[in-house]
Amino acid sequence: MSATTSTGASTEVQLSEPRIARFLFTDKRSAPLWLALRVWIGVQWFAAGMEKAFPGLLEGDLQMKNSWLNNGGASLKAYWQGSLAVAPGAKGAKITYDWYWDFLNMLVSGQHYTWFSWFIALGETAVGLGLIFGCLTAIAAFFGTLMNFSFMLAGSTSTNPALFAITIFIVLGWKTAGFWGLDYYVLPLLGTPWERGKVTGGKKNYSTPSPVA
Amino acid sequence: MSTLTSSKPSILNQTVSGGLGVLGGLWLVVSPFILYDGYKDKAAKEAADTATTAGIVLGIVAILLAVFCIVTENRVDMFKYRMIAGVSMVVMGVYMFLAPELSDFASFKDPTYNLQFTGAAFILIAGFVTQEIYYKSKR
Repeated sequence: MSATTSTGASTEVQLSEPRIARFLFTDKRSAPLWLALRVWIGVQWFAAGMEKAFPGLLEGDLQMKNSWLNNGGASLKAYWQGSLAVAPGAKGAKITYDWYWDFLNMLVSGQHYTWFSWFIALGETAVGLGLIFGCLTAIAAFFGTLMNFSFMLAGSTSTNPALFAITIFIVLGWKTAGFWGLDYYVLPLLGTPWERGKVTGGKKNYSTPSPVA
Repeated sequence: MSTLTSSKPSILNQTVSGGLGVLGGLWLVVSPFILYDGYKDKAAKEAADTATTAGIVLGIVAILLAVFCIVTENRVDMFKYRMIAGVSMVVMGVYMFLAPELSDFASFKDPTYNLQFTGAAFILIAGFVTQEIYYKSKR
């Protein structure tokens, strides 16, 4: 943001973040808060994913015949067809946007539910584990929001809006959300695309973020 | 928030947080008999029994850890063990989120929400206080 003074000189104004934003998204002392949020969201994703991929495993009664990995995508096909039953704009339509209706229609017509069901089942489980253990937390959270967003566009509300809203904050807090988790080790090792880590050829003394003064 | 920037250690944090830990532990022990006693359905009763057992065990452990932190708060030589107790309470809080799924009573809302809310309280209170004490000890 720049302006010009009466003498013609230009000035630059730097807007700083509010203290609460700095505390949440930059200060590692916010780690306990992120741990609680992360584990709560992660358990829900993990349970949902396990129920799709390995139904009954957590209850000690594995039923692979009902698994999304084993039924040729039948469950996902049924879900998509339910969403596609009424075209956008008509009474009772689950999908609002034409482009998303066309997208799901293309997936059903091309029988992509066969591999997509693996993607969703294993993806939900991986998102859950990533959030619980705090490993690549923001990436796991991003894919979680992507799935929430997709399910909402397909007409499912359920817990999707709440999970989406909270997980967005986890994405924004990528530097600190996994600090009390495996990201404490993983982030310095991998670094970022704009600042490489120890393993990817970065500075030797790369360290985790320090509390902001 | 001023205690986070104060140069003097805040004993109030440890006393209050220890007291809250004791209250949290007592709640875990007592709450099953308040919230989910009297289920008639067999599956619900089994789930409630599992959650009750988990609550009582976790509650007793939480009370012991919290009392230990309160009793030893002025003992510098016990600092390391107070850190371990604080971290243990955070880990217990994480376990409370996982317990409904691992012990197969997640479909029953009362015990699940009770454990998860109490677990969140343990993570936040024990986490922030333990962290504060740790960073102060580093200065």
